[in-house]
Amino acid sequence: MNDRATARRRRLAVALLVVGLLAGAAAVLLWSATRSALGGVPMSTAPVSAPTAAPVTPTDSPDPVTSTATPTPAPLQDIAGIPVHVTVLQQGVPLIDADVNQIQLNGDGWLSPDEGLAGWYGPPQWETVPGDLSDYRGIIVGHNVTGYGTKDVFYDLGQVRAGDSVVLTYALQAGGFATAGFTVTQDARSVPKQDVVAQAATTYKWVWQSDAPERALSLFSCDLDAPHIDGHSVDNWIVTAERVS
Amino acid sequence: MSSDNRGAGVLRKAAYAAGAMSLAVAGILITVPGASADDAAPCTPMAAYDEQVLVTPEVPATPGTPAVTHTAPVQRWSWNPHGEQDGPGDSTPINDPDHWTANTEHYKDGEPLGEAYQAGTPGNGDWFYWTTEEVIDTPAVPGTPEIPAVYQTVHHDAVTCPVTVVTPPVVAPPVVAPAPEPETHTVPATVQTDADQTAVLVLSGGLGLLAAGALTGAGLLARSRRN
Repeated sequence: MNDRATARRRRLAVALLVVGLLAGAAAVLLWSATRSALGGVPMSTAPVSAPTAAPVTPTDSPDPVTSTATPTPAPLQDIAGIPVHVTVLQQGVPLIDADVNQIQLNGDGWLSPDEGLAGWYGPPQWETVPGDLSDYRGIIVGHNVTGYGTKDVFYDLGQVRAGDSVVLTYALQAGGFATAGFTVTQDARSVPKQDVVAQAATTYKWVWQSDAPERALSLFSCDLDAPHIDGHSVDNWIVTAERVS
Repeated sequence: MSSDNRGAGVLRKAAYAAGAMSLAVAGILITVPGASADDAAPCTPMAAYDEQVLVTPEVPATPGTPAVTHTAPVQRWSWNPHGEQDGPGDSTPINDPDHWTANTEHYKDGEPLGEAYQAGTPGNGDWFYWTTEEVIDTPAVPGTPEIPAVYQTVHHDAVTCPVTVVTPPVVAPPVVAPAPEPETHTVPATVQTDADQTAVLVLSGGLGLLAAGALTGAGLLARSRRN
């Protein structure tokens, strides 16, 4: 009788030990994923159907923008189309490569893109097409992590530096595709989320508007290194770029 | 011909000349308006009307002048009493030629004309009678009746001016670029580009608690086994 009880307790102790070890390991993994974005976890939703037109061809040049510029560039024209793909190149290497869909504010007034896609904040709430001449900048936003803590399309936005290039692909109204090239004007900047919207007409006007009509673009994501409140980062990464082609 | 007759002739000629002149002027007035239609004068609309155009002016009547005559002796007659003692009385050679005999005497001034007169010895003289005739010194000039003016009725058609649509000069308004419609640019309440990871955190915490409990239980069991 005592032997059977002892054996039962032993098996229970072993089972508890195994459960405890597994649960502990899982907890550690989850925690790590949320805090450091789990560098070993693959990107969850890389674009799988890049437009066939306007392929972005990385070059060996350290400055892809310089390599694509012409001595006498033709005057830039507005593009009768909508952006469908965005690529950010750093030294010719794609740092961000994502399909784009058009989004609007949600019921809370938040600009929150779909997971796995970059979101173009477009008409009717923001009537500027990126690359068109406007007093306002074109706005494209993307998640950096998913709700499961995995990387999303703009995970590396904070790594963008001045001089990097952005290539937008447009689906033309007349059919077909076209591309426009932009040059990043400054290193990615981390700004408080609340301020960048509350002071949109003053301190952070440069994020949303231009002093004169320009063909400008702002890319948004979240800064994972910033403190989090209610599960969300309190800062945004901002990357600004000017159209060059 | 007297000076009066000559004056009347001049007047008549003047009247005819004036009439001819009026006819000529009327003809010009009737003919010329066609030419003025081509003038660039502005058209004045007018209702139809009849115009009385003077063709011949009125010629006033001229009074006639009576003939100027005088009575001249023609024949002296002598009274033949045929035994009667009385004078001729009302007898004249015209109404009682049996008692009168023409003679050849010439007229002497002062002798009465057209009446019996006695000449010779007073109280026993003969009776004589000069028949007379009227000699026209100036023939009578008949007067001319008044000739009324002659007018011709000239009908003028109504003048209907073509309706001219006066198009005011088109003053092109200054080209003002239409004010661009204010574009909508709504700044979001926040740009939320990191998914809510609260559930993951809660899950990891729960797993941690579960691991701690399991390990604690395993330790307690192991201790009881040793005892």
